Amino acid sequence: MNSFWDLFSSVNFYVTIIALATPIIFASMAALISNKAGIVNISIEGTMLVSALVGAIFSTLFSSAIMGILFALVAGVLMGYLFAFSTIKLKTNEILVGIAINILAAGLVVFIIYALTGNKSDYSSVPLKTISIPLLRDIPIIGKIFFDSLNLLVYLAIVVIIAMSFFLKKTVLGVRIRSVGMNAKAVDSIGVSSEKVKLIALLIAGGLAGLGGAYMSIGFMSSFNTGMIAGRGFIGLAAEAIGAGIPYVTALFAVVFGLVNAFSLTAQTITGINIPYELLNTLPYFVTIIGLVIFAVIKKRRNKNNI
Amino acid sequence: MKDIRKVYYPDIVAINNATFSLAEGEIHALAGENGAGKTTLMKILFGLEKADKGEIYFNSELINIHSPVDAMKRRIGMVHQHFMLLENLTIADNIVLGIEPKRKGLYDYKKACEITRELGTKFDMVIDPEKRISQLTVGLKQKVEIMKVLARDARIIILDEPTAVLTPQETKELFHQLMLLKKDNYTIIIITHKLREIKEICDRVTIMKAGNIVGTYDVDKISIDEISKKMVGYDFEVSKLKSNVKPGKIILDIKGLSLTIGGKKRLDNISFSIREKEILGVVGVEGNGQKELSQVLNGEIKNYDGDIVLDDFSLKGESILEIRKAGISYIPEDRMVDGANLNGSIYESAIVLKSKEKEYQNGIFLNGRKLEEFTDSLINDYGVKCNSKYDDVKSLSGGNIQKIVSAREIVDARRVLIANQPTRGIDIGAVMTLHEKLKSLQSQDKGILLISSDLKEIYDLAESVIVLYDGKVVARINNIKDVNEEQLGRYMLGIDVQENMGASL
Amino acid sequence: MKLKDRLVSYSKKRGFSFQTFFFESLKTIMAVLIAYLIAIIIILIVSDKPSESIYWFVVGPFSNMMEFGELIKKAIPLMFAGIAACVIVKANQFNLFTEGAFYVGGLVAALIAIYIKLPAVLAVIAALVGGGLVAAIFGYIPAKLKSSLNVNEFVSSIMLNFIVLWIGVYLISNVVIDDASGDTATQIIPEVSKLKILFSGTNISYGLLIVVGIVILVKIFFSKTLPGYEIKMTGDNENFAKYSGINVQRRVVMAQTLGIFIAGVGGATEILSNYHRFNWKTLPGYGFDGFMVTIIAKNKPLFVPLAALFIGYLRAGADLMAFNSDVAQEVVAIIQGVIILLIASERFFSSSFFKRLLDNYKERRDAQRMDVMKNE
Repeated sequence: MNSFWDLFSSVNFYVTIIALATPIIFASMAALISNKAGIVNISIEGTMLVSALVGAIFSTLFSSAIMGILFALVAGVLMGYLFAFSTIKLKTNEILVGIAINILAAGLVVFIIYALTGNKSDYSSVPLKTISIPLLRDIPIIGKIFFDSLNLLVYLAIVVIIAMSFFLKKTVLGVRIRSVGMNAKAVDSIGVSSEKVKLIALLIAGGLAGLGGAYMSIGFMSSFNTGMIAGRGFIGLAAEAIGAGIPYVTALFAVVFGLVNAFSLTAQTITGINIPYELLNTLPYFVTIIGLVIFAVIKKRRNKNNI
Repeated sequence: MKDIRKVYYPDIVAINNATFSLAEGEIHALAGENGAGKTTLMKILFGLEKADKGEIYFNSELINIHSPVDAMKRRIGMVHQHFMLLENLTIADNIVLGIEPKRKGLYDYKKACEITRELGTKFDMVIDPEKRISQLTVGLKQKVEIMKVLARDARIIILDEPTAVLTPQETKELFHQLMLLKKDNYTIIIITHKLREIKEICDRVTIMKAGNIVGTYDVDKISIDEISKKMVGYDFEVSKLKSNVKPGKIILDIKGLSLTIGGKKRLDNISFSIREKEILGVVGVEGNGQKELSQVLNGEIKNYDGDIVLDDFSLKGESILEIRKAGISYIPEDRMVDGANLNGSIYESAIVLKSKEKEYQNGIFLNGRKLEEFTDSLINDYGVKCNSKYDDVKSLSGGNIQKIVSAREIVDARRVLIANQPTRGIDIGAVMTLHEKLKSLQSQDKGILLISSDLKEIYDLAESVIVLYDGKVVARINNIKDVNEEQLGRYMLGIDVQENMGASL
Repeated sequence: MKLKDRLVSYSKKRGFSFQTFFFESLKTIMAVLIAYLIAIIIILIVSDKPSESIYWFVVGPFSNMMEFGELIKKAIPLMFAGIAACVIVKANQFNLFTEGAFYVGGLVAALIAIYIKLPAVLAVIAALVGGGLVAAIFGYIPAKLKSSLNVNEFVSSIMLNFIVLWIGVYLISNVVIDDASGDTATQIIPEVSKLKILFSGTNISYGLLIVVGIVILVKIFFSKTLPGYEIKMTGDNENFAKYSGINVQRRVVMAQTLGIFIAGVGGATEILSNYHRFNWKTLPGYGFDGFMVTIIAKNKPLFVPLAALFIGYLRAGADLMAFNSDVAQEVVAIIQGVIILLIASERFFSSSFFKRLLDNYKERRDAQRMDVMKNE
């Protein structure tokens, strides 16, 4: 590869974008449903980390990527329950719970790997196979990008976006979750327990974060390592904020993030550009901050106009 | 409801001994001043508050109502003064929340819209179920609340101050719809202090005063004046506190204040002035512009029309800090949230203004000794009951918290003090202390704006008074002795408007 | 006067409630015990020689002076991070750039020490203050974004952490790299700039004095100065602060920047005490640790060193356990997580919980007495 054109015309580049956007989609959907229920859920990061490891372990145990994903999902829901129990039942400040869970998760994974293998950073997994769909894959360009080199979890992420939008608008539970986030008192006043609704939302969030974790260790890579989440849970929170709580807009930012991330990973190979990879690595985080600022400015303007 | 008693911790008796009965198919007014216990009584009926004593009978059967769910089972519904609506959802969403219609397991939004339209017809109004609550006027929001109650099959509907936020036209419409409901044999309770409305629409009226029931009357057989007397009547004697001070020159001049929030004019061309040594009372039924007036004067709201002039200097658009620096201090209405720091010590809440003054600093440090002395002097002067100045504010009673807040502000008032409901809900001893302190402040060439819904307090302290109704000044009485409380009540309730005010209702 | 009466009267004068203190202490102790119980169960499960593991974990840090020194050494950066977080949380903010500040502070201190030649004491001071200042400049960004645009400081500060990490890694692997080191690291930090050992026979550096000094300054800042007082009022009750004429926004920014400055000095101290070269290629993790420490300290400055010592003890013990037996030191993370979850919770063992328990007990006791009396 030696020019921008080569980069942007390569199928691989687009596949990489999708691959890098997928974990952000899961994380941001987890943040989104928590936020809809009125909760800032920073435990997503730790939940993803634990689930990524659980996924890797069980995928090897059963020699099945699918089993790994299922157990990662369960682990995510359990972590979600821990968060919900602490915030709702024990009435602990949600940020503090989030910090506690993230610290817990970071140590727990190392502890488990060490107990199982004697090393402290890696655990190999049975990865998901890419799905190649006959006929569709023969569509020029699009076929190569979308139907030849993606795996099950990527498709699932796309389904999750659509399902989330549908769920929040069209189901009773979805409407109640949104209602709780807007005004929990109003919901309690008509005899619906807002705590129960919050619990359900947080369990779903945990499950989604669990899938995001599984994707990292089973879908994206073929092993777990302790630094692999690298703030993706937090970026999910940012994506949710930038997307103003709308699933499709949130997902769009996740894709933008994927694009920037993919660019930062591959840009050094372009001749004529001499940016070291360390500085390119800062790009996704820069873009996230800029996104947050733009969103905040728009919001502030809108509020001004309303008065 | 029989022999209901409710005491708020630690020492405020909200309801002393109230017995209240309701007949099927009537519109029943529950009238009384602010703090008379009307809302509390109804919250007990609706299960939002627990009575300390007393029983509730429903069709002569003794029942227990522990929560709104119990109340709803008995088909009792309540429309709160502060709406419980979900602003970003549609009307239909709000109405069916908790009783959502389903189809194939999914939320059946179409059906929800249908239900909403049906309710609308019953109510003689065309309604667009798909409109968002945030786009509705206050009047429509209230109707959504009423429909929410109807959708849950309530037969007894409690409305808490339903017309406080409505325009005259909206009020008329609401009454028309309430009459329709009455025809369908619904029973309605209206909590109100607007006497004309009682006359216009209600069958019976129960009057409450200071936690007691004064009596229940057929509306046909009682005049507005009689109701008014029973509501506000005091055995009032001329206060011993009253001194014969002659007000001096004008300190604070308010010129044509107007403020519109959410499409409603909250303040409408308000002008008045305060002189040295003058206590100017601002009276009015709650929600007629007092809150907005104090927000404008303390600097919280800046985008108003008109001007505020202190000693010939305009304070228009100045910040809270600048206004305080100019010499206006402020006792906020909500002492628990705005007035004191409940998470900190008495000392911390007491020194918040003084700490900014050079005199109380030692270079970069606060002069702890002086500030402690200052706090001690406030505690002593105002008789705050506490173990030490380091006690948590939240361990004090409401009266003692208010003493600290008021003490701090009174001491700091260099030109004008705005006191917003300074003695609401506190014990009589604390009230006496604060009244004395306000009087002594007055004798020091300072002006006091006393916003109060307690008429006795106004008579005890103020020389002159303005009456707010619907954001307008409807009367200005320069010598309060010239007006009896009955007449004041008529101004407050919008029955009369002083001629020279030229305001139209 | 009896001692007890004296204590009671003194405590009343200082507004100190024994009852509250008792319940809060009991709660902390319960949280620690529960967490230890969980840890011991885990050790019993995973360890082949559990008694040895538990011995090293619990008693190890006190086995000799060197190990005790190790405990203190581990606690020093935790004290820095804890007191930094304490300042930020006082304003009810959650700026996690304390993490990045450790990194920036350490790097800048190393660079100042290496490239600016100064006489002895001055060299140390310049490195410490320089590290703190550069960190504070970065930390100002999320603080300002929060106060003027209401951008969530938590998320933006975490993004900033990654940005400074990668910039730092870039610098030490390209710009200021010393090829002779055989590592991606700076040149050797000159001895003149380093913080010396405070107690011989241990690894405790003068950093201990610095951090204790800062803790005392922070305590004085909050109890004796106007900005400190106003920050606390803003964090406790923003409405009250606003109506009293406090510039809430300015105080929010100030608390965050100040906290970040302290964290930066902490990073500088860590590097100047314990490293020959700056060679961090990941974030050190002290940012989150700091928030944990201040949670355990109930956000009281003077309790921060105690909480940090406790965490230092846990970690020193875990290290010894890992070195001498077959359990990874990360078991500590489980203990830490459980402890914060329990201590931060309002419902777990709250004083009202105890009062209810006490009331129930009294009621039952009275009822029993009544029964006994009836039977008699």
